Amino acid sequence: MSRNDLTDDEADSAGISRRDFVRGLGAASLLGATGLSFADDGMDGLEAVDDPIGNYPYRDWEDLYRDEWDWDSVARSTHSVNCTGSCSWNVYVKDGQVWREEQAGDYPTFDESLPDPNPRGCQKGACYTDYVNADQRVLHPLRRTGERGEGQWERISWDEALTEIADHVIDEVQAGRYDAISGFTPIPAMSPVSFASGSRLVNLLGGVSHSFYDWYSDLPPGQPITWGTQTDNAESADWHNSDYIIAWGSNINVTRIPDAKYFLDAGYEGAKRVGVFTDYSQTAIHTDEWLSPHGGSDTALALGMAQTIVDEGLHDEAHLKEQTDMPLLVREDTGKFLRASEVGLAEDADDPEKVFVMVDADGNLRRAPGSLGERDGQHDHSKSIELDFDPQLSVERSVDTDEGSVAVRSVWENLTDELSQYTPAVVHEETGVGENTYQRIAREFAEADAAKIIHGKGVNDWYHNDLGNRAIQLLVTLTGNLGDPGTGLDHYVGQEKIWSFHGWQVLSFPTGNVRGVPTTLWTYFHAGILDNTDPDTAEKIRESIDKGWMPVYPEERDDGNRPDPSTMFVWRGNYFNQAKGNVALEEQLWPKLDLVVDINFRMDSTAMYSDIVLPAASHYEKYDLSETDMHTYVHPFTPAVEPLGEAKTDWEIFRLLAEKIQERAQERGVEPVEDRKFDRTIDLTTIYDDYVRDWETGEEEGLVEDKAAAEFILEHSEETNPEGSDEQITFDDIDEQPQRFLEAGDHWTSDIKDGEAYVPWQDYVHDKNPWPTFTGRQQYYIDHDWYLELGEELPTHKEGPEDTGGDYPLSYNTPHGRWSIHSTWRDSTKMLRLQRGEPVVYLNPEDAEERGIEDGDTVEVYNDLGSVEVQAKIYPSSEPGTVRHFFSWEKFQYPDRDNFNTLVPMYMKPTQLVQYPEDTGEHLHFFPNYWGPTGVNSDVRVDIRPSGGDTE
Amino acid sequence: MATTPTDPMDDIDEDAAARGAVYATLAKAFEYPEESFHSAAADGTLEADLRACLDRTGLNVAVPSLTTDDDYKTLAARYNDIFELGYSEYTDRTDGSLEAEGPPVPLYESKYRPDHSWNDVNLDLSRAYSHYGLEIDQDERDNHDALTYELEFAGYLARREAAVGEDAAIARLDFHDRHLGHAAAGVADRLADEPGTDIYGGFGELLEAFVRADRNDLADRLEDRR
Ligand code: SF4
Repeated sequence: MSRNDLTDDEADSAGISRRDFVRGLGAASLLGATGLSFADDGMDGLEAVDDPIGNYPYRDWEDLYRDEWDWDSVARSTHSVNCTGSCSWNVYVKDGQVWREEQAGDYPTFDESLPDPNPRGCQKGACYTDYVNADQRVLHPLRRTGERGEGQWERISWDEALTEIADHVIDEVQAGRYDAISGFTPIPAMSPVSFASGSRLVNLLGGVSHSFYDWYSDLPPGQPITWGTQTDNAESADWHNSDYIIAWGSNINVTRIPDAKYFLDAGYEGAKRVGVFTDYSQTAIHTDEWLSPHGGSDTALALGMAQTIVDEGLHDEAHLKEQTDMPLLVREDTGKFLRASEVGLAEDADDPEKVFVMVDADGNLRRAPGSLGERDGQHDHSKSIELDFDPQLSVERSVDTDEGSVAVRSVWENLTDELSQYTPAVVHEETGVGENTYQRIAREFAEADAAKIIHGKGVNDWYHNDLGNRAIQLLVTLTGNLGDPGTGLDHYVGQEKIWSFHGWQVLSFPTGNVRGVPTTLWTYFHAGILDNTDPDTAEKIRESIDKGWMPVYPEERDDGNRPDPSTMFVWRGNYFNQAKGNVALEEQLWPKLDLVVDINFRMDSTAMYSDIVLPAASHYEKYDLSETDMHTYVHPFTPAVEPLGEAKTDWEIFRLLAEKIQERAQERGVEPVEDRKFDRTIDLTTIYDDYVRDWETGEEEGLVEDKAAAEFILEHSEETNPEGSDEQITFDDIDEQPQRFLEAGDHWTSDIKDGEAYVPWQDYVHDKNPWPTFTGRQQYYIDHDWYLELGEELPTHKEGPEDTGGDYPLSYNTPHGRWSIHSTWRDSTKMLRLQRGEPVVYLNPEDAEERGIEDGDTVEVYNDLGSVEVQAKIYPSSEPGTVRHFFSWEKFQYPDRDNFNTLVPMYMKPTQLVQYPEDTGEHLHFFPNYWGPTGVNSDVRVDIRPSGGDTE
Repeated sequence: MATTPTDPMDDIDEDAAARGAVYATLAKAFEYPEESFHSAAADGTLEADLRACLDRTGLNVAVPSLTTDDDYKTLAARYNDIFELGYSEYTDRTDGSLEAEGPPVPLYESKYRPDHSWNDVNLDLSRAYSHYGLEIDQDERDNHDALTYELEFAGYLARREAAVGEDAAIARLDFHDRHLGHAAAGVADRLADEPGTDIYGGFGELLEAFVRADRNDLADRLEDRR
């Protein structure tokens, strides 16, 4: 046997040099194995970057470790999982691979009196690397070959995938069904470029953009109702400024891990921390006092506390007079506010019918300044609510109107009447909380210098969440705890808005004409709710749609027909898994969709039930921005490594799709289509040019790269590039270190100030601008017809709908868990090892014993809608009567593919379908994520039995 | 590219070269199938030539059936089902154990190394590849412990042994013991339990048998050199 006879680069008779041979080129052929010539490129995954026949002495494996280890690079990134964390991480790279991450820990301190903002992070983020490298990554474009959900796929090329989608989209648009094309992606703040990628294309197509904040039941409807604002809250650092904090249904220690330290630290500074949780939750155990009202009775508890505050005169009268509707007069006969026009006041106002009336200390009727009728729209800071008279809170009298004498009472009178029902006996009866306990807490809260309520999902998922919100809001309003450090009602559930709003908005919706849709209504409408709800709700849904209060797409056509939705793009979210009314959605809505495209880094349930899955870059493989309302910094995602396999960034995927649509449209010679609703033409032959054009500067191809899109957002946002200032935050700046925003744009209710944690509502409380409500004040009285009809003009406690899911003895809820962020990490081995490793329900020992269930048993949770098989965990911290199923396991983690949402029916509250004022809607009008029906789910009833038991 | 040479084995170690060719073939076989792989598998040339290659190795390895009646699309779908599509599934509901990640037969060594972390396995491989001046192609990158990379690397070392120097043989043996042996046995085991594997069942058997035979042969040869 001889070797080394070939010269290194000289080819032998077969045309192969030694170097080529070792590299693997033609090696099979060299052996005469032509049948193996498909393997003639012996190394196409590994590449010889150095000489393949170079001198690499080897004696033993130790030799491989002689080179000093050094990272090739460290990149800054974070996670886009709707966790609200927005924690900056360093990602360590060697040999093109991510090996670990570490909290960056370099948020600049802006207030030395507050705890260090560093580090931020959670245990899920600390193992995101596992996902980057995981073999459940989707690596190639896939097309379904079996039924939806069957898991049968073929790998297709990018070109094939994009061509198929492009042709379908072109057909839809040309047939006028552009409003049958939906794009669902949640939470811009967690990665606005990725959000914008598909939203921009859908916008150019004339398609439909879906809301998410209301759909996830994260929107607290009480805030738009009372404060005219989607939500605004303090950054978490401000908790530390409080003297008294009530964590009300907000399980901070589980769902706000990076921020929890502020809650704990506040205690060291002497703040009292009270927890209001039905269970002895992971946060309750760290509080000074724990109140445990019965599930769904938070409203009664809050109104009871309000009654104590009012009864004992602990309310802040000045605040109520200036900042709220309490002094406004309400007609006794109609229940409507008395309008200035009825009593000859405010004739100079634009619309005296929308100006309201107070009574001054002398008993004279006075116009209430800042009413909508004298403002130019919802937000008008040229007007003031400051009073130059002292209004009376308690008014009960008659007034002369053009219709004669009318009995009126102030809102305050109505409210105190309402509150008087909440006697200690009633509150105890309704809530189970001790009579003295809740009254003492109310007193302490009212007497604290700076008191705050941290409000969470535990309250917001109930049918009457709007009443619950309004009642709890009332506590901070009554005590004047708004607009100052350490005060307020901080509702941290999901992420409603994004700091760098303008840049994100014009990137996502370049045409300015947005077909937004309330996703709860869209989903349930197309899943058949009109035939599956009570007649009154069905009637109100119809009325809301008919009156144009809430839109549903596709629009009804001139001939009275309404096409079905046909096409859905889902990215950055797991819509199919997370949808309430899951059974109806799967059976009724899903079959209507001809094409479902999921863009994903992993095969989640939505991907499983899609037609085409496109592989997306992971969070460590792309450029983007990260923001949250838990803090006031912006920091980036940067690509530590190339996307795994054939994956691409969201921006690149939708850009390539735009390019393919343009190419195919030109080939097919399609004509532009006039938009039915907006004054614009949908021209698919230029859609790529439009996609990559910077519409703000007109620069062609200015937005080809995702980094350019990130820079575009920073450039065009007040928060990062304030008008009239030289200061600007650039992408390079944030790559260097997280940067605190420079200003707050006008979608925030306070300024960002040096040296102070952000606290909302100062525009109104301190600057006396009118609140963006009908009355220009915090509005606890809503004189909309539907509210009057339902007896909800004021916050009031009501029982939830009966028998939701059927007549069963146990209450069912699906809180956020510790070991996942929604469905992300639900399938992570590391996280599964920290828990039971499969879907599990938490049961009170008494409920379990009654049913012969022991810890670890496999049980069925069931109601009229279905049944899911899960493991039982005995949870002594639970109140009896509740089945807690921490969500959100993937469908395929249950044996029958039913999941936690199988037991949740479609239901929604009509009060959230209104426009207010009814004719013009400045106060409440549909706007995605600002106002729309919430996808509530906590009223569900179930029972539970050992698996294999009888079915009834 | 290359045509069949008249007498190629004059210049290189034929046995090691043939093993290199078998590894390269296995690497391709465990990649997503290309049309060329499918046609060679369908018309029997793959099996015949692989047999011929193995005959030139001096290893006694039985070759299972390596032909397929699948059309290309079916073969590709089969590959996806077995190796590629991952989602969580119960493996055993009685004790709640969950195969949380990945397809029925993952093609990553770390999945078969319960006592080693992903990082340990991959870092070790990263060291090995980079010692030899090799890197993962970033255009369509995968993790270092992807079976195809390991097979490509095994092929590279075998060809190095054939054409550059014998010290590669020692590296080959160590690589088998530290990595490829575990991956091959793991993949073969899982494939054996999996229904409907068609040609991949055969490749699983061959992978395990060939890697084991190569390893044992190396161990015998190098017994006194370690
Ligand atoms: S998952 Fe969210 S909370 Fe956890 S570390 Fe990442 S960004 Fe922070």
